[in-house]
Amino acid sequence: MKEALTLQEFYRREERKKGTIKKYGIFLLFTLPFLLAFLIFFVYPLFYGIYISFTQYKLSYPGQETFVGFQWYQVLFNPNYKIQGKVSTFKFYESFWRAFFHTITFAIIMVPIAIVIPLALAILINFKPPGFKLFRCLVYLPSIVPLSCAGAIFVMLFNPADTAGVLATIFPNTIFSEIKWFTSTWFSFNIGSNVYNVAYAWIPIFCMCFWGGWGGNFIILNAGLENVPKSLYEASSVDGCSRWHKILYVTIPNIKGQLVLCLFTTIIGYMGLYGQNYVLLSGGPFTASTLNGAPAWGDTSTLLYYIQAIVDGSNANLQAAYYGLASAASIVYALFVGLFTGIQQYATRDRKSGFKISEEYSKWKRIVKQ
Amino acid sequence: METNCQTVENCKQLNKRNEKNLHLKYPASKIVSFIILTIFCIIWIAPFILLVTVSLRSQYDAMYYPEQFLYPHSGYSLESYKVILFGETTGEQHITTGVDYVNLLCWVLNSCGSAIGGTILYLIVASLTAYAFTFLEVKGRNILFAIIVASMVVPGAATTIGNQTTIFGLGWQKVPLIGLILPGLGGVYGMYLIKTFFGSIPKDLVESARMDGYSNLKIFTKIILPLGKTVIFVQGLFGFMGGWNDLIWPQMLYGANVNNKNLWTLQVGMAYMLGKYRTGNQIGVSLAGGVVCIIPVLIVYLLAANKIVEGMASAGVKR
Repeated sequence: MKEALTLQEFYRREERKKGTIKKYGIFLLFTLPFLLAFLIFFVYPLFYGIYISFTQYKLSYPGQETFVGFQWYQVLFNPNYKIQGKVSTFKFYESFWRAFFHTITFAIIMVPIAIVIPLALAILINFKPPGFKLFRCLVYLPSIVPLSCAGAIFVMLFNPADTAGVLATIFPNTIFSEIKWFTSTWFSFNIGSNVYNVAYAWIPIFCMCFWGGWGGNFIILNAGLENVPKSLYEASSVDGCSRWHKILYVTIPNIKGQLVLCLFTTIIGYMGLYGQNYVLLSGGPFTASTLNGAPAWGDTSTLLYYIQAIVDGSNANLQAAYYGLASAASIVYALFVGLFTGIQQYATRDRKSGFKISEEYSKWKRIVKQ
Repeated sequence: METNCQTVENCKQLNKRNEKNLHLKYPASKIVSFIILTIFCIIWIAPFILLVTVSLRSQYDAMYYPEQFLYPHSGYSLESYKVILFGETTGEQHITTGVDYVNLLCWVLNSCGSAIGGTILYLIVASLTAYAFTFLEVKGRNILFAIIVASMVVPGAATTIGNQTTIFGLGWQKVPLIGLILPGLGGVYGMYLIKTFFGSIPKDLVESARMDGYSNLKIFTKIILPLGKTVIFVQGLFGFMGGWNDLIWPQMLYGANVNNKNLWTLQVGMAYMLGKYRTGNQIGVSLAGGVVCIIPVLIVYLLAANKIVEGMASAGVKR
């Protein structure tokens, strides 16, 4: 009896062992393609990119890089730095920070618009006018247009009068025909001895983002509005709320989650502004001629443009000599954007909507008040 | 806030309001929103109409009658399309700078290959992984998943440079498509989306199928895939549109290779063309390219507009 029991036990253990091995095997079989791709195309390049940012890397001759320490980070953060004590890299410093402030300023202007306009439209559509489904599809339509196609449209619209721009032709002798949108400088200002030119080209870029940049927000907010319980509106009308008060005190608190999600995804989106500037005017009118030779020295170049101008090989000299600089810039960019993404993921962590952050905030506020 | 009417007076008031609303089929709020939305949509659609009409204008009309862009002076012509699709020159003497031949059909094929091929491959890989992470109980599974999800914090720009060195090291910048498709397979977002949806499928279903002796592959193909086809469809659409509209990665791979434009995707080629042909009489060529570029996306959207919109809304995602 005792022997039989142990035999049974033995078999059960064997079975279990086999079972776990089989389980792990099946699990691996199912996940292997993805895990391999994840390791090769995400984990490895991430760390290799960090490594590149500490080296003088040549894309055509991999394996022949030399270690340079924090040189590229010095170039980005120290205006007086000289490579090996000789070559001044002020140009690279200056164009990086100009690109940085272009990105930030544009995001600060654009993000509120990309939240408020879709919110207003979503509220309008939520009245369910006849054909509201068609309206919803039409409003979202510009957001699926490929960048280059949208670029072609806006080049056509904003071309100057002598090359038959559509706006300049429709409205002759107005602001539309008098300004050369893609080449002129709007105004310029000085900080210290540096001259900063703000190009008119920001207007076409703004229009392009305004036209096709917030469809996703609109859909999410619209879905949020549809889920607000109708009984709340009825109750508020019993209490005698005006329409405006309903929006302010019923609608907006109920879609807080969607608003937070939209806010952060929009911020992250505009931090990565690149395509619009590239297809419309290749980074902008190049007026700051002292920076000639640095990447992204145009008046509308952004952070991603800085990285891309080095690595995409359109300028072979930059790619050969400053590849590590691009990598360092991308790490700085990633840290900067990752901060926002981290907050967004924390705020929306399991419901895919941002109630959490407001809850945490109110909890914190309560604690502070006590 | 009170949800049920407490006093008789309030109830009466509510009833009155409801009656009022019942009498009017279209209350004022609906009419006002209809009017505003109509005006808004007309302005929003106008660029599309201009895109089509100006692309159908011949270069002769563009030179001499630039103010007629809704209906060109000598009627619509397919001149620009002939130039970009078949490399035909126009033969007009007064056009000083001609348009050089660009192989648009090749770009279209490349874009189709990378968008469709990449999407299908990714869907297979990602849904298998999502299945494993949802229904196969293995020690350490949750930690692994948490690590993978945490990596979504890292923006794409941080990995593209490392990827570029990998692809260039393998020499794939001279080969079409592979370099465009493969790096996309490591994307986490779609896998996460599919896994979230799979998580809402009851586990008993899988357990009972296992009792009946179904293998994992059979459970996956016979039970999970039919149930999860909505999310796979939505992710497929996002994947297709993302692949079709991607500019940065193809540009890093093939953009510098001006001598072999046949490797380019449509977006890279279009951006190049737009840099070159943007003056009044040549913009038609770029616009014709734009029309070719938008047609597949537009077809997909028109076929499944409601599904896309609802899918996006339910997943709470943005392209």
